[in-house]
Amino acid sequence: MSVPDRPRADFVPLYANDYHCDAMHTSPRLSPRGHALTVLALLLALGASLPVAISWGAAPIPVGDTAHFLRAAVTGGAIPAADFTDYTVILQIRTPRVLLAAVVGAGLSALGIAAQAMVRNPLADPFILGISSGAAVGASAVVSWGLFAALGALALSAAAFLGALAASVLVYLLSRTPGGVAPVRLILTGVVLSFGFQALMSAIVFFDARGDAARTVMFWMLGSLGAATWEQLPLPVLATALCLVWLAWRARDLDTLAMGDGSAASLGVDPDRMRVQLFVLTVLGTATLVAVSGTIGFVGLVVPHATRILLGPAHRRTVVVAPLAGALFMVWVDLLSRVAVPPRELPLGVVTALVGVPVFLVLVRRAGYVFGGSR
Amino acid sequence: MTAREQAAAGRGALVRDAPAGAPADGTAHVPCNAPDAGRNDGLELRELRLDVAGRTVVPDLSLDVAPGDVVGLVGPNGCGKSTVLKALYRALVPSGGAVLVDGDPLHRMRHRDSAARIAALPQEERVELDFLVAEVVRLGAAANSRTPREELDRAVQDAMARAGVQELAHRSVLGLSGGERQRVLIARALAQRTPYLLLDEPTNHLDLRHQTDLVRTLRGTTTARPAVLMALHDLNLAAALCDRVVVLAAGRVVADAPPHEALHPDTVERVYGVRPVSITRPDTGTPHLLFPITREDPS
Repeated sequence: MSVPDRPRADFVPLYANDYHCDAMHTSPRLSPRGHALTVLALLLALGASLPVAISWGAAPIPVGDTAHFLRAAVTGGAIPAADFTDYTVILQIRTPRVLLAAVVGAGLSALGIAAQAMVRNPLADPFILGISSGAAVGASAVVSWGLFAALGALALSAAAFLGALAASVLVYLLSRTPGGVAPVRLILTGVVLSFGFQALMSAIVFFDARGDAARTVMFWMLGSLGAATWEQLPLPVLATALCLVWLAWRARDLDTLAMGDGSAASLGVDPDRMRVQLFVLTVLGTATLVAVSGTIGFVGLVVPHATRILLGPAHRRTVVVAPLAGALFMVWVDLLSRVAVPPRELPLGVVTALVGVPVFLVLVRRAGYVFGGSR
Repeated sequence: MTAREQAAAGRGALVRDAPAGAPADGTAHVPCNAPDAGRNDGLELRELRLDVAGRTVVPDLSLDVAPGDVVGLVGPNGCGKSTVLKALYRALVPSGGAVLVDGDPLHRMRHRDSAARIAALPQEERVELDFLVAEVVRLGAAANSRTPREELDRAVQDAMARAGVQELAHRSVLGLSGGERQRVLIARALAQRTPYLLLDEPTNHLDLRHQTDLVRTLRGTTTARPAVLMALHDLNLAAALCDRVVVLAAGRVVADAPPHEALHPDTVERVYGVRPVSITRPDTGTPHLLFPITREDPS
C-alpha cells in the first residue's frame, strides 16, 4: 500500500500544520501551538464575554459603568449614591450569576467527558446515573412538602444534592457485579431508575394541594441560575476545579480506557477501578452543580462531542478545551435566557437546546464524526 | 544445526538470545527495556485457578515461560487459552494460585507496573473514539513508565515499522479493515517494549504476507526479543513458530513440550478428536500436520 502524497520517512510527523486534517473521516488534530492558540482564544473570548453578560440584562447598564463598579468593588473605590441601585444589581445579582453560569458550563462539559468515558457511550451525559431525576425528587419534596424548611433558601439545593446522591448510590449498588461495574448495566440501571424517580417526582407534585408546585419544579428541572448568590459560588467552583484537575491528570488513562477494558488493563489502567473513580467524580460534581442550577441539559452531552469533532478525541486536549467552550456557551445561554423575553426568563434548558441543537447538527453532518465505531 | 533445530530438540537444549534488557546492538530495534536488573526468572504460573462468570474455566494450571521463549498455547474452543492470557494481562483476577513475573507476584502489582513488564494483544475489542493509528500505538509506548519520554517517538515509529503500519499512521483506527486493525494492535503491544508479550490469536484477519511478517517479527534475530506466550488456533503455525507448545484441554495442560512432541498425532487426536498425519517441513524441519477432510457427512 502506498500513499503517494506523503513522503515515506523514518519519522512521520503527526501534525503537518496547526490545524491538521489528513485522512478523510477523521477529526482534525491540533499541533501543540494550535492547541495553545485555541485555549488562548477561548480564554480571551470568555474574558470579553463576562463583562458584556454582566452589564447586559433586563435593565442594561453600560459596560463602562459595569467595569467601573467592578473595579470599585475590588479596589474599594467610591460609587455615587445615584448609582447605588445599579451597583447592587451588578455586584450582588449579575456578577455571581454570570460567574456561576461559567462555572456550571465548564463543570457540566468536563463531567460530560467523564460520564462518556465511564460508560463508553456517546449518549451519556452527567445526568445518566439517575442524578437529575433523583435531584428532582429532592427538589419536589422541598417545594411540595416544605422539606428542610429550616435551611431556608438552601433547602432546595440541599435536597437536590441529597436526592442526586441517593439516586446514584442506588444505581451503583444495583448495577454492581462481582466483576466490577459493567458500563451497559450502569446505563440500563440509570435509565430505568430515572423513570422510577421521575414517576415519584410526578406523584409528589400531582398530589400537591397547591397548584403551582408543578410549575416550580418544572422550571427548576429545566435549569435556572436565577437564585445565584456569592454564597453559592465556592462549592461549584471547588467541585469544578477538582474535576478539571483530576481529568487533566488522568487524561492519558481516559484515552486508554477508550481502547476497551482488556486493552486498558494491559496498558496499565485498571478499568474497574478507573470506572469507580469516574463514578464518584461524576456523581459528586454533578450533584453539586445540580444543587445550584437545576438540571441544565444538553451542555454535558454536546460540548464534549463538539470539542472532539473539532479537535479529535485525545483527552489531554478535550478536558482543557471543552470546559472553556462550555463556560463560554453557558454565559451566552444565560444572557439569552435573561434578555429574550423580559421581564421573564426562559428556562436554561430551553435556550441550550435552541442554540445547541442546530449548531451540533451542522457539526455532526460536516465531519465524518464517529463514536463507538459507528458512523 | 540451526538455533531453531536446537530449540526443537528440547527445552533443555534451547538456545536463547541474550537475556532481555541487554543493550541494543544499535543495528536493529530496541525491543524491550531491562526488567529489574538481574531478575530474569521468566513468567511463572503457579496452580492458577480462573473462574469466569461463576464457572471454573481453568482449575489448576502451572506453566513457565522463560525469558526469550516463544510459547504457543493451543487447544480446542473453550479450553481456556484466552482466559489464561486475560489473567496475565490483568483483565481477569485469578480465583487462586499466583503468577510471578521475574519473581514478583503479578496480581499484587499496580497495573501501571505490570504494563512495564507485560504487553498484550487482547482478543478483539471495540475502540470507542476516533483515534489515529499513531495515537493508539503511542498509548502502548507511553504505557511503559520505564520508557523515557524522549524515547517515546522512537518506540512508536519502531513498533509501527515492525508491524507494517507506518503507512496507516494518520488513518483513523475506526476506518481500518480487520487485518489492519490487528496489525495496529500488535504495533501497540510492541511499542510497550516489555520483556513479555502476550498475543491472543495474533494471525486473526491477517493475510498470508502479514502472517509471514509477523512470524519474522516475533522470531526476529534481535539481541533481546521479548518472551512470547500466544494463543493459536493454527497448529501448524504453532509448530513453525514456537519453541514450545502447550496443549490445553478443559483448562488443564495435556502436553508441554517442543512442537514435535506436543503436537504428536496421538495428542492431537486425544484433544481435538481428529487424527492428523504428521509430516516434516522440508524448509524448517518442524512438524506439519495434515488433517483428513471427508466430503461426506460420516453420520
